[in-house]
Amino acid sequence: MSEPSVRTRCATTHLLLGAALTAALTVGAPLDAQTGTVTGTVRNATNGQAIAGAQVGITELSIGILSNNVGRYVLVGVPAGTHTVEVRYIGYTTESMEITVPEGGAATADFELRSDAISLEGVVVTGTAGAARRREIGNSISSISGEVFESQPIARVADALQGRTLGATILNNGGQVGAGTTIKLRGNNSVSFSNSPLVYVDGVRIRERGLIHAVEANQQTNPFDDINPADIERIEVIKGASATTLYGTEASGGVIQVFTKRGAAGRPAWSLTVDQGLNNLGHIGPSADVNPTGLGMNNCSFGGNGSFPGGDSQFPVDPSCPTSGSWLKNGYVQNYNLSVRGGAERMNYFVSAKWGNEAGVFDTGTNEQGVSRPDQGQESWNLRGNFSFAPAEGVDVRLNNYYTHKEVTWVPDGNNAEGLLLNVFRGGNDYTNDEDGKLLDMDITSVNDNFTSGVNVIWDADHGISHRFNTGVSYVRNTYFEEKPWGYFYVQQGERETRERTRRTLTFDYNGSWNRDFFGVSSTFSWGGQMYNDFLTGTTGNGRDFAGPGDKVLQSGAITTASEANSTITSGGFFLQEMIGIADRLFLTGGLRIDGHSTFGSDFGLQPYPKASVSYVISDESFWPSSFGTLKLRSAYGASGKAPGIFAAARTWTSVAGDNGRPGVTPDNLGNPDLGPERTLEWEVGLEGSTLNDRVTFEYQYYNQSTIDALIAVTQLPSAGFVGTQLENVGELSTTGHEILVNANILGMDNFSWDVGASLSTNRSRVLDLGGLESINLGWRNYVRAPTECTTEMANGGSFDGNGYVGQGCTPGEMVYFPLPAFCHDRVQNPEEVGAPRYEDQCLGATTPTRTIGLNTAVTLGGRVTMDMVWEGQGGHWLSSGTAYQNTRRSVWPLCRSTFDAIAAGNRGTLTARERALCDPSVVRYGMWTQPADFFKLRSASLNFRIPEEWLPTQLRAATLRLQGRNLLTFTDFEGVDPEAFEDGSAEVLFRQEYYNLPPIRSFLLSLKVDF
Amino acid sequence: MKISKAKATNLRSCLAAFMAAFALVGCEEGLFEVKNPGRILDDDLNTSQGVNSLVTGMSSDFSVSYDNLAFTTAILADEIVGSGSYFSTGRYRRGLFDSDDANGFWGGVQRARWVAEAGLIRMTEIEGYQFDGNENTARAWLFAGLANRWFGENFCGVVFSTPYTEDSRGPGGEVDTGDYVEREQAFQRAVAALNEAVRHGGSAGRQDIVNAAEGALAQVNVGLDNWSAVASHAAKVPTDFVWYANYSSNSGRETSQIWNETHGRHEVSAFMTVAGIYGAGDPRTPWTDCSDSGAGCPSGNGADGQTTHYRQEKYPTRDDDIPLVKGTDMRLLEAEKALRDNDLAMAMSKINDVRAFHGLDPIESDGTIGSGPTGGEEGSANLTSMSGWDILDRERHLTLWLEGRRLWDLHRWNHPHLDGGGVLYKATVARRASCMPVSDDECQVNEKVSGRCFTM
Repeated sequence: MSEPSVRTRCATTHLLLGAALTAALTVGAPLDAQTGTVTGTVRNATNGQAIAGAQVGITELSIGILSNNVGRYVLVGVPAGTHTVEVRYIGYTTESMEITVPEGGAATADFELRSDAISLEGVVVTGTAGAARRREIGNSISSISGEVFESQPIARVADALQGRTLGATILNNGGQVGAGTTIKLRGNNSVSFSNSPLVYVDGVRIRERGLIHAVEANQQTNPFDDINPADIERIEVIKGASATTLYGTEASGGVIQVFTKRGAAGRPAWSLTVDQGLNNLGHIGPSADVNPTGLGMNNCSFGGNGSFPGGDSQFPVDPSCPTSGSWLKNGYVQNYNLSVRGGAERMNYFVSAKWGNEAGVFDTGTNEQGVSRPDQGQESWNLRGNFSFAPAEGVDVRLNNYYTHKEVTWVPDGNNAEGLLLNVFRGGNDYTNDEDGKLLDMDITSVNDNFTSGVNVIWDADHGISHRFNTGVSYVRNTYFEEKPWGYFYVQQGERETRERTRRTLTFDYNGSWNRDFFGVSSTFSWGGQMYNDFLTGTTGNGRDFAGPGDKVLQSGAITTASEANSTITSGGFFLQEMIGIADRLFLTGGLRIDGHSTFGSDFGLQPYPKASVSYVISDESFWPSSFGTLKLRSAYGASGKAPGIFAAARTWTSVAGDNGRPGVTPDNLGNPDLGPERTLEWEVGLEGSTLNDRVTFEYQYYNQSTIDALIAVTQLPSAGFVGTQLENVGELSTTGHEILVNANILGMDNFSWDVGASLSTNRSRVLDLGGLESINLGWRNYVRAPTECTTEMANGGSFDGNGYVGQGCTPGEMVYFPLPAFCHDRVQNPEEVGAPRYEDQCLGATTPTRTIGLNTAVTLGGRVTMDMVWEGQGGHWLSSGTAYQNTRRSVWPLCRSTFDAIAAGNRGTLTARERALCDPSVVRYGMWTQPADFFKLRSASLNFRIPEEWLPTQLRAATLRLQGRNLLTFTDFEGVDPEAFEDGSAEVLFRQEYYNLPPIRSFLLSLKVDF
Repeated sequence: MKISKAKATNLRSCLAAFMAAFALVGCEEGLFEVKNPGRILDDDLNTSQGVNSLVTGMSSDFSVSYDNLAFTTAILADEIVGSGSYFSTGRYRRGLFDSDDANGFWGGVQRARWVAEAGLIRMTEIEGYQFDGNENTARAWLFAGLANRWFGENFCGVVFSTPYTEDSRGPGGEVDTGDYVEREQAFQRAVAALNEAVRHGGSAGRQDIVNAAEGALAQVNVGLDNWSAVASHAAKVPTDFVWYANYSSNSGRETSQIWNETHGRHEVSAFMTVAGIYGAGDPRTPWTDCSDSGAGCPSGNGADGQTTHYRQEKYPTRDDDIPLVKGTDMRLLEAEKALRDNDLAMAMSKINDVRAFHGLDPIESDGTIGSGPTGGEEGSANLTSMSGWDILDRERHLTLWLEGRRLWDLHRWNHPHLDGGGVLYKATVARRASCMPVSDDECQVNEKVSGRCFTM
């Protein structure tokens, strides 16, 4: 669904725009003596930035125009007298002002609009079959305005969702610059496929996840992060099947749509932003560890002096330690962004370019030849050109193009024998003989090229009929290189690997709508269809055993191997929808989407997805006291799906080599001709509104998702020979949750404003049926488990440290349901006894957060100074610390020092089972270092100062200075390295664990933005 | 510019037509055709030209799982010490092995067995393929037999669900029911397949296949406790004969896992093992002490950071093959039969034949046979006893080192090591796992065996 034209079904707005061109055509004409003009500017009330493209008009006169590229407007031909001027802009409050226009003179009306994500008059387009006002929609939809990107420290687009989007869980994963985030909307609703939402940019679907896992770094870039945040006008997020029905198959994880900035009439208006800053980590290691060495990462020069608990034997002197004495440093950050917007009445443009260079926090030191190794970090280019023109009345054509080039240099990390943290943390018990700098001789690089181009054609025809056609291509090419040079300590003769993946996705999207009014009832009938074509090609090459040093290519190796993959998948569907509006306050919507997909089984056919919703603006009723404010009640039901994998429906074999390189075949997939998509059905009920003169806005919803026909990789009968799994539509999953949001303007004086906001989202994803399977092991003690009957042992098991487990206290015989997925492993049952621990396998809880809390506050002083903070908490889940477990096995874990000492002194027999279960290297279990991972972080804080115009040279229109910080504070009881760390930043997988990967870092940025 | 009503009507008509076409095209099958080159549809294998690929696939499927078995059973047995960071390594060295651990191994051996047995059925039905007397037929029967030997030697019980039915019985009359049966049935199944391998191999003039099948027949008859058959088949295999599971650096799938876990990583070590102590300098058990700074190892310790890494050099490259059937094993089986027949002289003669083959001096017994291996410190092979059984214990240990056979020897001998013994690290169970149970995967989908799985 593409961005709407500025016209909407709202008659008022229709007239506004209809008059806009007329008004424009009269510019420069002699003023009638009985008329005058109205001029002014439209600005953002929070940061003072000009708002281009706002709709300014006088409804009763059918006069209107759009603010130009510096926020100015002129209404001409306004009859003398008193009128009300109204300003609207998507994502902001609607403001009006009464003015008196003198004959032949001019009146001034300046407006300051406040960001308003849930105004009932706001227009949204995602999931709605064209533009729709919020009052008409029965499901929740979140919007993030461009203001967030203007004033807050958004390094990656996903940063903007953290703490601001109801139902969204954003996990940072890793601290290496370039590492992608994991995005989940309303928990997990698929076992076998990604739970990531679909991502659209200006109506064109883009790749929502990375293409290549940076194997040695155990992280992955995400194309979503490649979008230049400064280009973003707003983001719309819809969650759950009740909202995503019109996107059909593949949309059950939700949809995120990004809208980028457009041009506006006027001379070129330029903006230049310069960022200078640094990345920093601070102390690394368990939070309870007060030792400043950070297990050798903060200080690698102390070996031999016994300053680290563990003494000389654990941490010998590392001769490769950087001269700074630390493996960590402050990484320098610099970004330069230049944009220009302008145009004429029928054509406008927005063009931007950005270059950025960001160093990570590793001090990579020098190699044996004394040459400095490259920094971990990234360098990126972003180019954008958005062009709009109006070839005819009511027709708007938009061309949106962007290109991104990003190069990330990684450091080996995570679950990797050649990982830096793994070897440094383990002291002398490592793979390098405690000469860890050798690891950094490995070169690891990812190069991403993204190009997306789309065309939106919007035609508002006569008789209430409108058409929107949208097509585009997203081309993503990711290349990954890793090279262990000749002489590398671990692979003496060297090795090089390159991987290249290219993904081209084509989007075709059409929808039309027909609006009618009869007898006080409005009708909007919509129809349309989408087609999505996904082509992937990729090659992997490996060359090893080089003849000598020097720059290498694959064929430099004596032994080379290569592999190739390519696939094409097409999905498509069409939909019909009818919305009935009664008295502009009660809206009933019904719709149906029907889909086909390449991966459906040959006997399956097409898949229908129905939807229905009701929205009732009860506050428009006459009985509603106006002092109560506005209130909308709503409910929605809908279905969407997730498609099977490529060729999952067919019985296939795959080519392999055997007998020293001869061609052979091996069973691949059993096949299932009845295979179809998994279907997620959801109903949602909620309300939204405002009170206290709109100073308090609120939103609440409860949702209930049920995924039926869930695709489960069912283990085939191994004794029947076709080993492996086959997808079958046999599972059933459930997710329920609450979402609540409150924003309040605590103080709203002329020179002082204080806003606060709070949100809470919960999700409870459970497994109801696995089609006969008892359990699916996702790896690393993450399980998808079918419900089981409560047993006495389960009911009465011991809960270590009182943190509970799934089924604790259940009634024998009743069914116990497990989170999707759950951590399950051994927990000690006799903690207080002196002696050996006795373990019981217990499922501890969910592996992904089940509740997210967001808190934000903003203070504006004198319209020039703005301070804001965003806090975010995630919790209700568990995380295994592979670092704690593996280091304990090696007697190198600060929290276990006393137990290690007791064992070394021969006093193992005096230890309690608790002490041994946690810290005795001979019996410690992963389950003992699996802990609740609740955390609360200060995600961002910023101070903005809009420099008084009189201080500026006349060539500058405006200038703003900002000081920003991200991830500044963390509060947690998790005893591993970091509760958010994940050693595999791929969104494809359900499992999580922290395993020697660099945790999320903090950053500080000083920015200057000038408009000229 | 304003679009006239007539033109607008035309445009609307075009758009309506576009939508109709869109909807119709959406129903047309070709539009949604999935393209994913590289996969082979099942029916496409039914050609005589494809038989080579089928049989090579059998070899590949055998090898790809057998090295994992050899690696793991070496830790479970007393061949090598688990010195790595894998969670499973820590379990195996303590003698723990349950149905969850068995998943990959069960699946691997079932696939190796099934591709050979079902492949043979397919081969009989391929038009134009000369089944009888074809060396591909002989190889396929050999892989079927070796897979069943592997199954019987390493699993406590076995299950067969396909490919044999009442209408299409196996070479020994087998009908697969999916029931849990004793491991001897795998050996009996192997006998029938290996006899076919001998027959077709002989017709095809492939003496190497015949030798391998004869040797495998000797091995599986050990499992059937038919020692006269062991001796008669073993006698047909020359001492210098070896039939291997193939590995290669040609592709990642073909690479030797044992090499990867000892050279590529440091997950197992010969430190403080029979090979590391008694076998020092023995050509059958070569290893490098990585703690020696001149050894050229990336690290002196195993991946656990604390066990000295004695890196095995029996498989020094990714390409090194694992022996499956070899003449020296035959001589040692003959020696074992002699001990069972109370013929110590014959046993020592056979043992010294093997030693001589490896360039080692002969050894003498203390004149006693013993009643079986006695086990030494920590229960592993007795390093000093010179009784016939203890000598045989050590010699089989060293001769078949890291070939995936030791756990079977421990099991059938009820070796003292199984009673809680450990190599460097103590077992945490009174009785170590001596065979692999039915896998969790099988139990989850086969109701007939659902009670056979356990966790520990």
